[in-house]
Amino acid sequence: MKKKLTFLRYYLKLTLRMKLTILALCLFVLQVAASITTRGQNFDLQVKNQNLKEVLKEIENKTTYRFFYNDAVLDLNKLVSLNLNNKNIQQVLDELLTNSDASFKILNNNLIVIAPALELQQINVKGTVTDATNGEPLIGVSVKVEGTTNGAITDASGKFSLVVAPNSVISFSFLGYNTELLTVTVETTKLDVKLIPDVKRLEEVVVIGYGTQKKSDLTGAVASVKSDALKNLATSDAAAALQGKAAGVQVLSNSGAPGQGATIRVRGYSSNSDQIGPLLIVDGLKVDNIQYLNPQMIESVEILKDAASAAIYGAAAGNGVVLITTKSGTKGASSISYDLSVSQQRLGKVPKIFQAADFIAYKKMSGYDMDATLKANGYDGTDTNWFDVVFDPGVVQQHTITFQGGNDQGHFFTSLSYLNNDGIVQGNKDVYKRLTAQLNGDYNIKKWLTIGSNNSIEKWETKSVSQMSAYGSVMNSVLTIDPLTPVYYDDPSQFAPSLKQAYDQGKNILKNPANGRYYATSKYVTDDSGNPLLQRDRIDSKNSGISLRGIMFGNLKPVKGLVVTSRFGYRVALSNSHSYNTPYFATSQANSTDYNISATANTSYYYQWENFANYNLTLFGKHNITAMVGMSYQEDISDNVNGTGTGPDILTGYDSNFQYLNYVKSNMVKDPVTGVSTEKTTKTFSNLPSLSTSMAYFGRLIYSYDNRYAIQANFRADAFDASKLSAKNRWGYFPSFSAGWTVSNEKLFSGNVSRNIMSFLKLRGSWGQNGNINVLNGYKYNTTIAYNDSWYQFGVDNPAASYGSHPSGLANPKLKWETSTQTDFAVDMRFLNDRLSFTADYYYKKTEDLLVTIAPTPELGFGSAVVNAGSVLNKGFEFEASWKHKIGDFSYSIGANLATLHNEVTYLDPSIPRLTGGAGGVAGTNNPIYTAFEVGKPIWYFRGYKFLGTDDATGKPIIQDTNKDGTISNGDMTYIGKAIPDYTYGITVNLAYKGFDLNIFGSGVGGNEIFTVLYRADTPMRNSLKYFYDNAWTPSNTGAKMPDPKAVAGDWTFWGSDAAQFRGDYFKIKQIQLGYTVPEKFTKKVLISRLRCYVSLDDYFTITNYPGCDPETATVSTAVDRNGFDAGTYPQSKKVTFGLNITF
Amino acid sequence: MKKFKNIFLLLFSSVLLFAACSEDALEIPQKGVIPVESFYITDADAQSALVDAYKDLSSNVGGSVGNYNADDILFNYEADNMLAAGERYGDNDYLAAINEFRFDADNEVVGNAYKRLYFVIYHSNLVIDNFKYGVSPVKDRCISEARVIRAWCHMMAAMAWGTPPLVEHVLTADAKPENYKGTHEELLRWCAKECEEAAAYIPERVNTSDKDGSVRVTKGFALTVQGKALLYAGDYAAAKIPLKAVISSNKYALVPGARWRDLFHVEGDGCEEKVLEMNLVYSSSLSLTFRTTFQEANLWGWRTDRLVSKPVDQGVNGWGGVAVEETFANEFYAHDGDSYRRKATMVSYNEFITELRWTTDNTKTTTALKLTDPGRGIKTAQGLYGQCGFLQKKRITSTEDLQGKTYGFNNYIIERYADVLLMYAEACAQTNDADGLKSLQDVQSRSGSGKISTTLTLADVKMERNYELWMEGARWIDMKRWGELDKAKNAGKHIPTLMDAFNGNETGVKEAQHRGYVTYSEPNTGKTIGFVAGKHEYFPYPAPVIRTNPILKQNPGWQ
Repeated sequence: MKKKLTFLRYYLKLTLRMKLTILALCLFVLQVAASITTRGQNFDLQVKNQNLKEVLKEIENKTTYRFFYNDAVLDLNKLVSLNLNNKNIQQVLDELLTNSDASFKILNNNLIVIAPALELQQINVKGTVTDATNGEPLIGVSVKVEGTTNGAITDASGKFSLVVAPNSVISFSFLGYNTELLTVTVETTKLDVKLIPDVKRLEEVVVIGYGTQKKSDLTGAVASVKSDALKNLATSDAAAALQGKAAGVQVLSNSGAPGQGATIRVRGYSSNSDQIGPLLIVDGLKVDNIQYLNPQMIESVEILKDAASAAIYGAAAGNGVVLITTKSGTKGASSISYDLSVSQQRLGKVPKIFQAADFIAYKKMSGYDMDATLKANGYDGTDTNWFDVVFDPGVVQQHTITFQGGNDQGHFFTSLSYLNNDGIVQGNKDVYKRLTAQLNGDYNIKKWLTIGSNNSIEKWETKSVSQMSAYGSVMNSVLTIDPLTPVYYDDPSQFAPSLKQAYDQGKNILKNPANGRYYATSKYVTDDSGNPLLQRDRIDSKNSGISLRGIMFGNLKPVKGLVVTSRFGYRVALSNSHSYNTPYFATSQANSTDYNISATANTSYYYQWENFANYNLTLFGKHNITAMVGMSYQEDISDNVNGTGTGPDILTGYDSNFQYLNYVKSNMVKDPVTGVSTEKTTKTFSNLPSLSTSMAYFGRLIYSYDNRYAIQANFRADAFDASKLSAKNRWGYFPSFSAGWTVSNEKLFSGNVSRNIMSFLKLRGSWGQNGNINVLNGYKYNTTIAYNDSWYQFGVDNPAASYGSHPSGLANPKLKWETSTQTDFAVDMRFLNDRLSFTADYYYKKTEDLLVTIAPTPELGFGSAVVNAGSVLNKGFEFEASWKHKIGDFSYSIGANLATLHNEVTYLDPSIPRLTGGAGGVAGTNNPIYTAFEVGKPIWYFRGYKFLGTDDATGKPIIQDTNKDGTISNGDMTYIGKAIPDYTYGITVNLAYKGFDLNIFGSGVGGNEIFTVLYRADTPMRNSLKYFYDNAWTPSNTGAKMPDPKAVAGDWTFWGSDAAQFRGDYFKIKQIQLGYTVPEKFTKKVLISRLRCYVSLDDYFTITNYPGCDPETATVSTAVDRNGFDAGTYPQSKKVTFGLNITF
Repeated sequence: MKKFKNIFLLLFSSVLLFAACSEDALEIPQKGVIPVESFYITDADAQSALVDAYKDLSSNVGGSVGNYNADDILFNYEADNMLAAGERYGDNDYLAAINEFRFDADNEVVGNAYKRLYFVIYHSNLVIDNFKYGVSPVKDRCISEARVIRAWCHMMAAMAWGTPPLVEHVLTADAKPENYKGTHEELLRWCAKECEEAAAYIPERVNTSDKDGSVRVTKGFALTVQGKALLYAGDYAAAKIPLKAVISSNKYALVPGARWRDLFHVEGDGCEEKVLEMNLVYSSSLSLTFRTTFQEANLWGWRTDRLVSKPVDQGVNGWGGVAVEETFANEFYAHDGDSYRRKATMVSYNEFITELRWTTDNTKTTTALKLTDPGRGIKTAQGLYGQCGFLQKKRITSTEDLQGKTYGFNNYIIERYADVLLMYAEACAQTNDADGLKSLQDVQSRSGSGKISTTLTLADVKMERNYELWMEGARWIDMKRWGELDKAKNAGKHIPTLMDAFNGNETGVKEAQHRGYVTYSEPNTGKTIGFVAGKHEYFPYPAPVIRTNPILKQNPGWQ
């Protein structure tokens, strides 16, 4: 009895909530047993004015029943009188507790609890659990009373029924959905619950290459981006859609021009070569780009970041793997949907360049006699804003119609999408049109066989304007042409002198066909590209093509747990390009006396055949083994034919219907001096089919124990054809290992840490090796005779050539591919019942055996030789965090990711202090700046002069005498900056209230530099950044940052210094989208199950200190050693988008 | 039955899984090449290998791969008779750095010049190493021509770097060549000896009209190189013998004065005076890019954007990268007056306005009209930087040279007969042999200067070489040989700019007529410039070469 009291005292100290819990626990633990206890002890009870406590004692004495009660609740001193005969305990207690607040409950072992009536009440709760997104019933949802074993499972129609105590907390948990917790009150009778699917859920399945894996079992670093994050984006490019979505995945857009695909970098920059893009796999098919893929058609994108995950792709995976899964039909819900988006796009960030008044003032400060020059040129006050002239708003339209459906036997998904993007350059010279169809289907033909096929058909067409070059580029010209020049001249008397001279000589001076006016060329900048509109119009070129991509597969299931897949993948690409341009004269640099016409036809086809088997075995409930073995064969064939005609008179006619190679004619012209007739029409043709093949064997073994420990090993053996490696060296072997420990599944953890605090904790680590084979091609290891490759003319009056032959190069039979070895450590955590999740990765990736082109000592006879002699280290942290919450009808989520990158060259052939690339930014600028690849520095850093400041007394620039030799020369060039950001990040915010949703998404980079090569010390009349004027030293502003313009007007050293370099940090709000979903009750009437409309601002806000145009596109070039130079790139446009998503 | 199905499926799966393709699929033959073992066998192969050596000489020495013709710049831009010019200070700076002695061992021009000479040597060695004498006359000749080309390259390398490596064979990939072990003079004698031996197998030019005999190595060229190498080695007596043999062969002749200008243009290709030049004939079916570029033609042209318009005599617009040094110009003018030679080498500003053809010539028909014509001459008050009262004309690419393209097709001269005559005259003068007087007189009388030496003096020969061979790669070597390099010690100090008083004179007044005058600037103030004794006698071995091959010893003053 003493013991009992102790328990009661303890019980009393507990809080009400906990009491309830314990009580409920007792009730339910004991109730189950009670049902099997024989009750039937009838007894007599006669008491008179005895207090309740004594009466209960007496019952205990008479029977085997024992009581639990709470003194505070029960008035034990209450006096009662009873006279009962042969009554059972139920009857006795009913009588005893009449007119009392207390009630009782008889438990097993004849224990009886007496408590307030409310506490002992039982509620029968019934309800239905449905999917919050589509309202479909969820079968098998676990419905549990928190802290008890009391629970139920929903039935085939999503219904459940449960008897609970009032104020119990019921949890609804289901694989792939957020767990809901609801408190039941006395009034509760019906509990209909909508579960929200959880995109980052533990049991989520991810694609890992030749198989799938539960996300909880992952031991490698795999970033996963689901369809929700990819829908309704302004971009039509699957690669661009990934920007800012995953840590460690950097998306680079080198141009905002229509149809320009973005490129992806996974975990840094591993090579001195351009071949550092990840392997791209769509539904198992290796593809060369993913620009064709409408992001709307993507179900998920998995990025295999660490070596262990990517190792299954071996020699092709050194730069990561991007696995894309396109949508398949949803089971049970056939639907038709239509998505529309219409954007108006316009120039986003406008660079700060000169307008006329400042331009003239600056050139005067630079020491030029502008008054005389202006007078000589008859300057009339023209002030042209070339950005206004060149750019005007364009429209992007995208229509997508999708049909999908599925049942237990199979799925069907087909989608047709049309895109028309008219860029922001005036006119229709920058256009991208694309029509794509996606056809996905699978069917369970037999219990043991599923077959399926995914196919994509793409028809595309692009027209583009020139950029990223010094001469003849529209984008360079718009930035560098002076504001003093008008857009057009009406009369040759207005012409610049060289133009007038050319006009007088009868050369072709181009007019704008639209208005019949001559394109003006500058009288100040006389040797550059001329007028940007002329550069736009002088060439007519068009690229178009059709591509087919797809797979066909069969999954054989001969025995339980074994799936054998045979998969055939194919790509067919047909493309044509046509170009035609007429003779023209703009400046001494930009002119041509010839017509030029060319046509190219490309055909390429690729196929792969892969067979692999996955076997899954569970032993004794806790041991799980997954094994995979397979093989792959790939063949890539391309064939192209190109023809050109060049000369002063090449066509039989010049109307547009003659502008084809068929009408190229001969043009024999007799030399007036020698009397010899020569052919003036040059015709060229080229064709070189190519074939490459490769084969591989691979395997994987995963073992996991009790959802706590998992280890994984991958292995791949790859062999490539003779164009890459000799027969002796062609096989490469790539191993990897990884392991994971789910700490939160340890009893010690789950028993002590509440899910409400930390719901998940996992540690993982991996090690592996991959290769980069793309750097090897063209039989580099081999020396042959380049037969009849050179020529010399032995006749002074005879153009006939004699041909010569020579060794093709310095052979290096030891060549091998680049190998990356990567180690990854990570922790995955979730807190507050999964509301907050956090993942941190650290990786250390060393790439060795880089192919380095060295200059052998010249006496060997070759300017270059290729050796494996370089290493690059990439290391960094990746963080991803997300927070999700729902307050009533208001739900919101915030996701953020951040990746840091330390990139460093760790080894280079000792014979070379550094590799040099990217001289002058782009060819022809004469700027001494170049990029270099050197030990201890980031790859392709900017090597230039170090600008220390301006001499306050003289206004002259102070340049660092790095080698301390007393003069400033080449030897003083040093590290001044780099194009690779130190960190990249992305932030996504989703808000929803009733039918409204608001999505904000931004991404940014930091720690990188941009070097502008717009100003030229040899042609200082170009326009350039006003920054140098605003910050210029003058006798009255001696503390200025920048020197006296006069001191540096022709000083290449200054313009090749970091004075012309700016921080490239930017943050772009890529999207602010406000959507409204019309309530179903309205739309249902017109057979629409879902109607959402939205407005969106895309790429609208750029936060940066960069004074030039778009820091994002300026940061990236077509070649890795030219990154970070701004020589005029097509900027990303800002867009206002209206869109509709309709599902029938 | 079910069991049977399972077995069947398992078997079928296994077949799929192990359906490995044969490795034969990986054997893809390379296109457009033949195995090394099947080449260097026949006479045709020998000729093909030799053509390749000519192509290499043509592109690496007589061509302009990239932005500049390194050989042309290296052997001209340190001479005291020219200036690097351009739009203004800092323009064409890679040239000015050499001209003003403010470059270092990383200078690209120096690196390229070194590299290219050795590339030609390698391609010559491919012929020499892969074939043997005595197998066939074709092979003998091919080997011998290659040996002369190789000797010429070594001679030029020796003049630039002193004792650079002697590379007699194709080297293995791990070779680290060292400096020539002997003296500079011994290396030059090796060159002479090579030519002497090879000359025996090489045919003579047929006659003075044999144009094709001037675009490949002949006996005459071999002997010329032999003589030149010996002259450069200071062995004047020995030098006279091969040089005299060339003169006595009568296969070469000076062109008449009236055609002196043509020597440097397409009209003079293969003429009687050419001993060896790199040939180039326009052909629509050949890719010509390795030989001559747009930049080359632009570099030598007058700075067009500073002129009212491009003179008709200039084929392409120019960047004005070369100028005549003022003291030299005045001396030359005083010596030659209005000779054919002077007028084809340089023109006064007055001649530039009145004697050159301009687009306004049809209306401006008289000198007076031309002098007041705003349609010609310097356009702006900025003038022509680097130019003095005389503008160079010798290296201008003419409209004819262009052959309708944007770059020149005139042949690149390696050796012409006037140099042979002057070398012989010098060797005689050095050895008190009056036989050389006629050679000197031939050059003098052809020039049209009116000055004819009556006795053979070294001073007259020196003067004549300076005027005759301006910007032909002779002057800097001559200065070095004669110990006169300190004449370049003030290089870069006092830079002229040619102004036209028509745009404003010295006091800012615009005069009614074109009149050239010169202003000066000191843009290099504070910088170390000019010839430095003990350093600039030789060029530095290119820094990248030294880094790759530390065995190679750097020249004095450049370490």
